[in-house]
Formats: sequence, C-alpha cells, structure tokens
Amino acid sequence: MSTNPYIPYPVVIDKITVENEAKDLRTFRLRFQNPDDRKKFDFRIGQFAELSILGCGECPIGIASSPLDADYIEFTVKRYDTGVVTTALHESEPGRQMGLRGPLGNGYPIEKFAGKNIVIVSGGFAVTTLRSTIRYLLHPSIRPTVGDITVVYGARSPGELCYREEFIEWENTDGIDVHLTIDTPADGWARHVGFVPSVLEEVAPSADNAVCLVCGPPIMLKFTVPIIEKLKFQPDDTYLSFEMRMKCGIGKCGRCNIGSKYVCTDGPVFSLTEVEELPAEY
Amino acid sequence: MGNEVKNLNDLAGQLLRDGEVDVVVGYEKVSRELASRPVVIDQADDAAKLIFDRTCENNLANYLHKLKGKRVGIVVKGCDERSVVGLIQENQVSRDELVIIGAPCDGVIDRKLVHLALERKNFKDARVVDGELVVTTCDGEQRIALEEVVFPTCLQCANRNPRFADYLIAKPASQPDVASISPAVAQTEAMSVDERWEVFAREMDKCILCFACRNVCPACYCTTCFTECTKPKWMSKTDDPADAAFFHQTRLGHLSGRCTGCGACERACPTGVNLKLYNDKLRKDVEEIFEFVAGENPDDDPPMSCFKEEDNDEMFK
Amino acid sequence: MTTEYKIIEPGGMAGFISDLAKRRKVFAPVVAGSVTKFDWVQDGQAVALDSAIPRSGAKQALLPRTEVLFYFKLGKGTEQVAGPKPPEPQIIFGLHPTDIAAVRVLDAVFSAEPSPDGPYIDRRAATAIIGMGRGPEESPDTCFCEMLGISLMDPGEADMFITRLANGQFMLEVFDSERREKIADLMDCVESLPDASAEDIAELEALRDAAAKRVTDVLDPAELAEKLDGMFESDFWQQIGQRCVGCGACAYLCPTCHCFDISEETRGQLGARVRNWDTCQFSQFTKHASGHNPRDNQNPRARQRIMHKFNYGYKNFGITFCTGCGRCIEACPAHGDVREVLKAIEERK
Repeated sequence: MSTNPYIPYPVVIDKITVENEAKDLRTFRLRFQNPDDRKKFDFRIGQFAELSILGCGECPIGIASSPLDADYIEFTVKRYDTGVVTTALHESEPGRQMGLRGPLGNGYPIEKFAGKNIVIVSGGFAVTTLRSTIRYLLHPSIRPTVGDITVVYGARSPGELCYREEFIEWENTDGIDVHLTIDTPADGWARHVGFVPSVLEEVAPSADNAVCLVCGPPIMLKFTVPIIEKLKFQPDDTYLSFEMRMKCGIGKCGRCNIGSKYVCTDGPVFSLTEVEELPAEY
Repeated sequence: MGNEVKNLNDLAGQLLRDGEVDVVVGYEKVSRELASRPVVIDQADDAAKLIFDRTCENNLANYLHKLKGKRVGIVVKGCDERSVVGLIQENQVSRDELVIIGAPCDGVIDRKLVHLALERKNFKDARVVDGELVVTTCDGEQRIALEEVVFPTCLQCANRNPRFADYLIAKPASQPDVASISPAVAQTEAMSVDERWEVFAREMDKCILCFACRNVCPACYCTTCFTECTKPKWMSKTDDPADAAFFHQTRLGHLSGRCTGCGACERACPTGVNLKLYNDKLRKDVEEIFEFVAGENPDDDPPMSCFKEEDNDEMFK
Repeated sequence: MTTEYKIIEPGGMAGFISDLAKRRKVFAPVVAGSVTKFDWVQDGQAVALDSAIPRSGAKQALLPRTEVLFYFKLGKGTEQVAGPKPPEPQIIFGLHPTDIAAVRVLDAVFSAEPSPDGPYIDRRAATAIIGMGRGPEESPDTCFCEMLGISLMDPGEADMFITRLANGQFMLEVFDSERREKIADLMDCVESLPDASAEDIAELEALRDAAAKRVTDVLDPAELAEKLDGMFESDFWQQIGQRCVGCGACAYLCPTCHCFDISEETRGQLGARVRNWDTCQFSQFTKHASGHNPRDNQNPRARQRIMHKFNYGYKNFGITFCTGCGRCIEACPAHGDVREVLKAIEERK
C-alpha cells in the first residue's frame, strides 16, 4: 500500500504554558511517542503542521520551536470559540495523546539568508514561527551564518505579549537587538509604546544586505508593509506568512488557494514580490 | 394595475426607466434547447432580454435575499408568488419594495421527461404546437403530448394565476379544479410502516447531499444552515444514507407550514430524489392539523412562528 | 506486447460484462428512473451502453463520496490508528472518452508531490478502465469535449476500449501498456473472444480518423488561461454569481472536480477520519475560524470554479481541469452553461 499522508505521528502533550493574560493562547510542548518520528519530522523554520485530536479533527498551526530543539516540538494555539480543535486543545491536560501531521508548507528560504542581516517584524500571536526562527538563528551553529538580527515585536498590552520571558532574555542577549512595544502606555512599561509600524519606522533598521520577515494580523500588515518599502527593503527579500482555512495541508483538497498558489504547499511563506503577483482573495 | 395585461419587455423597461424599481428579476433565453435561466437586469435597455414561456421553471423568489435593500420588479408564476407571500409573512421582504409582475402559467416542461420520452436521443428545434411538444431528432420529427412532459407538480397546480400581481403579462390561464397534493401521498400513507420506510430509504440512497434542493428553495434562507454548523456538529455529510435521511427530515421539519409546494426542489435535484412526495405530505398534514395553507395571504401567521391557544395539540397525546 | 483486437458479438456484450464481474467489481452505466448513473453491477444485462454520459459519473469509483483515511480507537493513553482496508480490484466499464480524459486530471492532482495521495493511488492502481467510443448522435448535445481537443474515439488512459462497428459487432482493443500486467486477471475473459479481422481493424482506424477530424475548433488552453489572468477583478463574475445558487450539483457530478472536506466520524470509542466531497461553491468553504471569509459571496466563488478549471489547473499541471462532459450544464438548477461562459471569455479583448 502506498504511503498514506493523512495518518498522523502519535504524540503526547508534555507541558502546557499559558502565554497571555486573556488565557486564550497556550503553548503545547509535544513529545513523539516513537523517538524515531522526531527524526522523520525534520522541519525548517516557517513550516507548519496539522495538529490532530482523534474524534475531534485537525487544525493547521505554525511550528513555534526551533528545528534544533531535538527532544520536543512546540505549538502556540489561539482558542477560537468556533474552533472545535482549538477548544478541545485548550481543555486538554499534559499526558493527552494527540497526532501530528507534517512538516507542511515551504518554510523560510534559509539558504537565501546566508551572510545577510535579518529584520524580524511581528505583532500579536502571529509571532509563533518567527519565535522558532529567532531561536534557530541564535543557535551557536547557525548564528555565525547570518549578520545582525533586529526584532520589532508588539502586542496590545504587556499581558498579551507572547513568549514574554524569552523575549526579555533576548533583550539582554548579545548578537540580537530586540524592540518590544505595546499599543498604549502601561504601568511599569519603560519600553516603546506605539503600533508596530511606527516603532519599526522609529527603529529604522537598515535595508542594506538585509532580509525582512514580517508576520502579523492583516491590519498590522496593511500599515507595516508600506514602512518596510519606505525603508527600502527589496520585495524579493521581504517575506510574509499567510494563513488560510485548510484541511488536507498537502495541496489536494482545493481549499486554501490564492489564485493558482496553494498556501499549504506553495506557501505559507511568500516573498513580497510573489504576494504582489497573487490576486486579492485572502 | 392588478389585472392589467402588459407586454413584459415594455413593462420591465418602463419600470426601470421611471425608477420605480432598481432591478427586475426575470428569465432570459439560453443557447441550449428548451431551457431558460434567471436574470437580474438593472438597465432599461436590457429589458428586451426578458422572456416568459414553458421553460421558465425557476422560482425567482429565491433571489430576493440577494437583492435585499433594492426595489425589485419580480416575474412570478402563481406558485412563485406563494413563496413571495411567505417571505412577506416572515418579514424577509416588504410588499412595498416589490413590483409583482404576474405570469399566468399552465405548466412548465421537464427536460428529464423529454429525455425519457425520446429515449435519451438528442433533439433540436423544440416548440409547442397545439398542445404537443414538437422536436427534431436523428429519426426525424417527433411529437409528444404536453401532459407527458410537463412537470408533475404543474399538472396538479391550483395556482395557475398570480393573485397579488401589480401587472399581468398575459391573459389569465384557465384554472382546472385540481387538488394540489399529489395522489402519491395517499398511496404512500396506505402502505405499512416497513413499506413506507423502504420507499424513503430508496429515495435517500439517491441523495448526494449537493444541497441543490435547499439552495433553490425560497424558504431556506439561513445564512448558516444547520448542515454547516461545526459547534455543535448537527450532522455528518458522509455517504451513510442516515446522513441524507437526517438532512431531509430536518429540512422538512424546518419547512413545516412554510413550504408552498412550488416543486423547485424536486426540479433542481440532479439525481431524481422524489422530494415532492414528502413536501406534499407535509403540506397535507399542516392543512389538516393547523387548517393552514402556506403562501395564501401576506397577513397570515405561519403556524410554526406563533402560538395560538386554540392550536391543535393532538400530536402531544 | 502489441495491441490485441477482439470481436464481441452484438448479443455477447452482456455476457462479457457478467464474465468480468466474476473477476472484479464492475462499475457501469445503468438506467435509474428518469436519470442514468454509474452503479456496481453483477449482471451484464443491467448495463445501458446507450447511456453515454450517465448523470452521475464514474468519479465515485476513484474518489468515493466518502472515503476512510484511517480508522481510530479512542481511549485514555491507548489511542490507536489503523490504515484503511486495501481497495478491491475493480473495473470502470463503458467510460466515454470525455470521462477517460477526466481521470488524467485526478491522476495528476493526487499523484503530485510533495505528498502523493496514498489512498487515491492505491484505488487507482486497483482500477481497470474499459472505455467506449461514441458517435456524435450518441453523445448528449451538452457534451463539448471536442471543443477541448478530445475526440469521441480517444482511448486516452483506458486499458481496453470498445467501439461499435457498422455491422453491430463490438471491437475490443486491449492495449499494450505496462498496465496490462495489472489487468492480467481479466485476460481470460478476453482470450476466449474471436480475433478481429484485418477489415475490422481498418474500419476501426477509419472511425478513429473520422472522429479525430471532427476535433477542429479547439479552445487554446494557454490563451484561455492568459485571458483569465486579466479578468480576476472583472465584474464579469457577477453575471454568473447573480444567478448561481451555490449548490454542489455541478461539482459533485463533474468528473474532474475533486475538492474534499475531512471529518471525524465517531461511534463511542471507535471511529474513522474520512474525507467527503466538498465544493468551492458552498458558502462556508473558505471561511476561517475567525469568521473571515476570502470568498464571501457567490461572485468570487463562481470565479474560483472557472479559474481552477481553466487557469490554475493549466498553470500548475499543463492540463485543463475540464473535459467537456457537459454534466454541469444538464444538472445546474439555475441553468448555467459553462460553454456560454467560455464563449464570453473568448470574445473579450
């Protein structure tokens, strides 16, 4: 019988971390029941997987841990009241069995980043695969392959910042320049205050020999992309990551296309050049 | 107004030109033999496109939902007009936003029956002459009696003439005295439970859950149908006949007191499910239990939308 | 191995089909009340060969309306998963050339990298296709496969092909492809048939030639795709969207449409993850959990159908995702006609 790409790897929830004050964002650390499967599940930054709960369904979530985190894999999932799987996930406890299908999607073209400065711009909980990227780039074996790393990351309030402790650790890490921001002033917050686009303009990272990875809700993208262009980042070197309603995740079920491109296989990462060629149906 | 007979194209053009309506919903020709299709026009120049003949089977009341907020001139047969009345009863459309263009009709043609009569041969040059459908096939000219190819619904139609039209586009059709409930209902009622189940199961076997029936029905206008709910997931959409059965039984429940028996669902079904049998049974039961006929008067209160103390409660005993 | 040419007598077709049915399941056209459809048959007498394009096609045999992707057993800490049963060997019998060409589309999509679709591939490998050539009078006038470059005598991917000769006999061609090994189990049904004569073969070739000559005014798929590229934002789609009711009649009867949904079907502790037919015409097809819907009215949905068939399919796989069977035209409750849409697109500057 041919390989059945719909059968997930069995995994177990090891640890659950609540990421935000609203408690609708949780990070699930998963362990493969068969350690060999982790090797088979060899993924790149920017890829996603279909999280599976038997009897419930699947949902496509970006991978939040680094490819070099050998023993586990992490996903940060937002709970939607209308979402059957996300609701079930948020009601789960460590020890629960689940399934994982993947890795899926194209991921970031890391080979094009060699020797370049990396500028990472994100807002809200869209930061998950970029957190995977930052962790990966900071790994001692990878760090020397790229230049400066600059991060601009914002959320509505301090309580809504995802991976807060990790970002604060990175603020104090050499070799990475982190700029966190919140929408409106808050007690005890001494960092940037303002929307991501204006903070990005303020920080004004150089576009020279740089690539820009940007991920965020549509409203943030709408105002951030013009700033990125203003700062003279090349469309070929600017990368967005898309979301779409998905089912198969492997380009068969016909659901997630934008024009002739499937977000699950041709994406979810698209350069700004590619995005400009896509028709406006997203 | 009322029973004034006007030429369809002139009327539609005039209504648009004078700004009495924003759009006119009617029928236009298609290149295929013996067929026409719904069209929405908003330019007086396009009024020349409109036709009305025995191919105009669609119930155009179904399109009123897409045209909310506009003043609509709508071409309706007697059956379609009942659906409009139903929508007025349910506050989905307001009478003063409509210009009802009434089309007297004594039956539309069922292409499936034409194919059957011609043993699936291709045909062309179809025309109705003296109560017969005349076509040309590879075997030459063939004549078929109209009663053989008109929709069964239409043969039992008690609504040949619209009753609330602002204008008519033809002289009233003669209205034979017919019962609008098919004799098949009484035949099925006379069967044993096991036989009736067999009939139902055989029909459900044909259903592929394409929802053509639901989507052409003017009374089905929920923005999220129960079939589309994931939380809770009311029904599965597999090839288990129980899924098709659940869909149809539930839809029938939702149509109680609202289905006007226009037959659009049965005509739409691509696999030939006998939906009319069950809709007719439903209408018969509603009439017996609640003394109510759907689509009769805009001022009526549909029985499922309101409670009256004198409502029949036999079914609770 | 070269092609074998055999003769089936006019009265012998039913027997031939019954013979085949003893060796594999047979999916063939049958009459069903006022419509015709493909169905599983054991008795060759039930097959209606004059039903050239049955209302519901043979897609069901390759991509069933519901297909188990895997079975599961629930349990705290004891969840298990098991693959679906291997598909039984089967035959799709009497397939019109337009439907044979449609199989090529399904094959292309489901075998594509990065993840070939195991369940489809296995079912396809277990399927023998016996096609049947048709004359123009035998194909419904809604069939427009010739406009898409498919002749009425084109055997395409079929493993065997039947053609009716002038004297009422049927010519059976058994092709010499590597798939012949996969239909080895059927060869004894064929071996017992008399060989065709040289005159019979000459007649077949003349029929095939004549059918090929009818394919003259072919739509240029590259030109069509390019025209469509410029039409994405056009209000053209409103013309279709205004009357389309958004049901699944066209897509479900279409032999190339293959979009599906994945759902869980559970009874107690046992269940299966299945796929069911779905269609881009349904209003909720692309709706996100957040409530956002990139195609939130029938105009972009109508556009998606035409684009997928005549633009994206061609761009991604080099083949048009429509083979002109015309089922959608017969089935559409709003009487849409894809030929009129194509004509309107062609005529745009």
